[in-house]
Amino acid sequence: MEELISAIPCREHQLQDLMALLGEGDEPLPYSLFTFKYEPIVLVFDRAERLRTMDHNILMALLRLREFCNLNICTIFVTNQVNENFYFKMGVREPIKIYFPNYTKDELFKIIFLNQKSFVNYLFSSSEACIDSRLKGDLEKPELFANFLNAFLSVFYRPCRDLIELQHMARVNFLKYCEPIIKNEIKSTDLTKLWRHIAPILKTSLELLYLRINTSKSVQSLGKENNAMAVETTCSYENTLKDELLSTKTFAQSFELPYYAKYLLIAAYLASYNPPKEDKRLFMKNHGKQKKRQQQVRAKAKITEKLNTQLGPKVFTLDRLLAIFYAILEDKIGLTSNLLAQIATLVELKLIAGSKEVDLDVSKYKCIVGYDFITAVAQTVGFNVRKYLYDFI
Amino acid sequence: MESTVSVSKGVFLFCNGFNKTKQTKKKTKRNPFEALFTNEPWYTTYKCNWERIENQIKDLQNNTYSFLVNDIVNYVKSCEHDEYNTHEGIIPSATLLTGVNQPDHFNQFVILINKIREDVTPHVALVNSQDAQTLKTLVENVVWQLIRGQDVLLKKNFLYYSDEMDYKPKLKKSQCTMRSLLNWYKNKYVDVSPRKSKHSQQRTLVIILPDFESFNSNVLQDFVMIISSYSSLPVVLIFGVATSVSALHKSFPYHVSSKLLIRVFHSHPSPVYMNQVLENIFLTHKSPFHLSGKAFELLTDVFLFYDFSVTGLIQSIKYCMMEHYYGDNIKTLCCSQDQIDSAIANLSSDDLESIRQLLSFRPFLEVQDCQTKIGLFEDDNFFREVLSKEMHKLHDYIHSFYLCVRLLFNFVKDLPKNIFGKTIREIYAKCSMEHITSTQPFKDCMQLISFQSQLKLVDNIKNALKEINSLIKIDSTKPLRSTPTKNNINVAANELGINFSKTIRVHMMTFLRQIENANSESTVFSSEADTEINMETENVPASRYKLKEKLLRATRVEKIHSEFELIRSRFVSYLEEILSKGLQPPHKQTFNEIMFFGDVASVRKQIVGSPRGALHTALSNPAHYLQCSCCNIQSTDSIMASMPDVCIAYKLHRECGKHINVYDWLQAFTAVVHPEPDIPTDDDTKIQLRFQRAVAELQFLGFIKSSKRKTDHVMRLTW
Repeated sequence: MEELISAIPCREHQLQDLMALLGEGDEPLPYSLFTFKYEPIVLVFDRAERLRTMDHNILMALLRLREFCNLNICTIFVTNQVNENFYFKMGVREPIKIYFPNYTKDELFKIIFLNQKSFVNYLFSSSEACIDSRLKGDLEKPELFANFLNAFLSVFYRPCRDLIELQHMARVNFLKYCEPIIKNEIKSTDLTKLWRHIAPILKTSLELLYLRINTSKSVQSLGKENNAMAVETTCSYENTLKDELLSTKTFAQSFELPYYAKYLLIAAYLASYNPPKEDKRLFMKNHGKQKKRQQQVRAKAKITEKLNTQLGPKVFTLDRLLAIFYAILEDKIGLTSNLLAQIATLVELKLIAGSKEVDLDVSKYKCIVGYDFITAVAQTVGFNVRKYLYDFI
Repeated sequence: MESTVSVSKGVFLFCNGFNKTKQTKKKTKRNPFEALFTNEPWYTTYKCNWERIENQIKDLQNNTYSFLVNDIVNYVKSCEHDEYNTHEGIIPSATLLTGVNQPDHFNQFVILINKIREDVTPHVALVNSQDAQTLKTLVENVVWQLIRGQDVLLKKNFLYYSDEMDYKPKLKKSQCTMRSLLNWYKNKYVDVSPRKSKHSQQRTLVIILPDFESFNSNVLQDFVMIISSYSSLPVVLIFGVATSVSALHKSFPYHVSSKLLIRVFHSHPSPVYMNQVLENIFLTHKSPFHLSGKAFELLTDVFLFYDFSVTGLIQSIKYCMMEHYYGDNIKTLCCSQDQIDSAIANLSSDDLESIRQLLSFRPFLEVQDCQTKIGLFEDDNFFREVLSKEMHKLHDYIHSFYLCVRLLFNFVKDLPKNIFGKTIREIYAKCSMEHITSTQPFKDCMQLISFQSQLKLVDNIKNALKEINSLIKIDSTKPLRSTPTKNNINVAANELGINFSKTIRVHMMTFLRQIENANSESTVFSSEADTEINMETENVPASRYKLKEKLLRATRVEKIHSEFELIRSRFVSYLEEILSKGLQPPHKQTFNEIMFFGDVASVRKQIVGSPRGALHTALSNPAHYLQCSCCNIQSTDSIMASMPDVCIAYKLHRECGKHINVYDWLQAFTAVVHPEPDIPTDDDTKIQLRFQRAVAELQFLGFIKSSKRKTDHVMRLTW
């Protein structure tokens, strides 16, 4: 019992409750789940919410397993959803609930601090430069790590409560925290300076939270040839990566697509976000005069909620896509197999949703990229999307 | 293993030494094309040339991929030692951003797998999305490949033990679960390792999913969760992502992605790779086969506009080559320079005759005198001699042509406005289509060069010299050049070829030296002029007339060129001169048809397939494909009764609008098929049946569909 509690810190209450429920082996029935005669069987289901989408009866059957098979059996479900999500059929015996609350800041601190040794070892293993023994002693001091952890949690506790994620981020950032100490730029006791050093780093790494992208350079430096170049490229990649993730615009520009594929994508976007009624007006040169009726004038005063671009993509057919494609493309090209293959490619890349088979009759598509993305793509081919969007006319 | 060379793509069956008794009985099947063509001289030339190009491509591929592959392998290796990750159930994973065109990257992954097998671990599994529609199949495939991976390696090492392998009970696919993998792994490494201690360390299991986007994301999520729960297995995942990292984040919710540790690798963007392939392999004088400007442009357009597929590009070039060589013995001359003479000696008189009929032979003939003309036609041996001379000339021309293209590229590449584009291939396409030195953009470029600063110019000339030097070095290392006497004759006649490049080098060197030296003098010169003017301004009182005069004089002073400017203008005119000599368009050369491929129209049809277009021609003009005499029509609109029923129905339906009344359609159909309505026959039902079948066929082809909105109507689906 003591061992268990030390293995899982900060969960003493819950563990005690659970153990009390399971009871001691020689306790009589009312106090424990088990009779002492038989060896108990315990089934544990992790991620029990998945059971809901399986066969209807399975959850109920599991809950009443003991009754059904008359054995000394107990089922435990582990889930991260509230109990209410499991109510959907009658006849379910209410399970005993043990609630595991989120860790508080202090608890998180305590738990991460338990691993201080591994952090320090990680630091030593990943820094290439030899560290002299005096510095090593400094770095191993728990106060240093505690200080770091305080600083770290003050930034990260608000957006993230996940222990694994926090540990991961802490590991990355602890390296950076200790960098100036190893280089002898800042003394390990000079806390304010260290804080000033780490604060901007923490802010930037906050942006990479949950992305799980390993950007440590230690791997790169293993490659013997072109070491300098490799490091340089990783730096630039890191930057582009961040940009890519932060704004759709740079993301779209970093995307390389063949010329006609870009136009196809734009055409798909236009088909998704324009009402088919307006196609004639938008894409034909001589579309005749528009009669201005009172109703239309009123409709012109659009409400933002009703804007097509706000409402999400509509389904369109293949021939409409191709018609718009040819309307917005200046040069005349044949409808070749290469072109049709591009549609399938776009579907595969999850830029357009729909079936992969290009079929005139049945295929329906939907463009699933956003406005920012499409304007960025259109910019690379010198095309003005706004001109062809009904909302902006 | 026997190498396969085939004219078309195909699947070849190889006996892998598994069953030796059978192998002796079976004759190795030869490719039928190969059997048919092996004796043809053009085929051997083609084969040899293509093999050479293929090898070059392979080398290039290995070089370009090697960096990336090494990086990934290092990463995988480091994961092996990183003990921290495993005990929290976190899977290290590499994400390889490949770029949109996935079939292209197949080779990349093959190279990667081989490298990992060699350096890190024998257990590698590569699962495509097609093989992983459900979680079960995915797991089965992965486990099966991981377990069998060891065998593959064993087979390599102990070939003669291959019989022993069969002792092992064969693993059924349905038995491949994660649990069996775990047991297998424990047997293999964990249990054994205490006895054997250090030398069998735990090997990582690498799972490669090359096309991440096509996977069902639910399947992948579950897969990742399952792997992470088997934390005692050191698994490394490698994803090939076509779009960007965010695709990964989009398809994995947090609870899944928290189990991953992602590291991103970028591969070359495919346009860069294409440029490399083109510049290093096809756009050099060493390549035996050249594409004319139009054909070249077609291929690059297909690449840039449609698919970004380098493999596709290479296959298209291969197709062009086949088209070029196919069934034509005179194309044996299309080989490297040292083989020309033997190739010419092998030509039959028929072949020579067909060479005489080449279009580019005519202008050559016109400038000859009467005697030689007769000689050329009558005397095969004399013609052979002339031919070999001309062919060598052509080679020399090609040599200097590519040199000049590179030179021009070198000087033009960083001019403002990108008049000729940014890559060699663009310049090549322009140069090979017209005589570039007589065009306006070229003149603009030269003008721009004549405004360039000294430093820039010196840099450019140095680069150009480097280019020339490397070219000359390659040539001088080549052991077999054509006989020197002939070479000399050619050079004397045309001043092209290797000596041409040598003279350019000499001239460039002198220009470089002059420009570098001119540096100081010109500044002194100008500063002197400046001081003079300054002196005058100080002396002369400010009267308007005098000022005007002084300004006039100042402009005149400026007009006097500094030494640098003089040299620069001389250099530019020299550059113009050599480029105009070297950049003659290829189609003006004698016998260019032999070396250059220009049949764009036929290739376009094959490479850029257009299914709808073909369908349309087939239906509107069936004689085009059927080649029958009965259905010849003047215009595509006319209809004849002799045509197939589908064609008639198709043509009639083209006259209608969005909705087609079936009854009217039938009437029109009857009128065409059976023009005399007066004679009532029992054909009516037959016609109706024929019509129905035609309509069904059109529906099958996707031109119409039945509509529920209007009775007795069908909808047209094409516009």
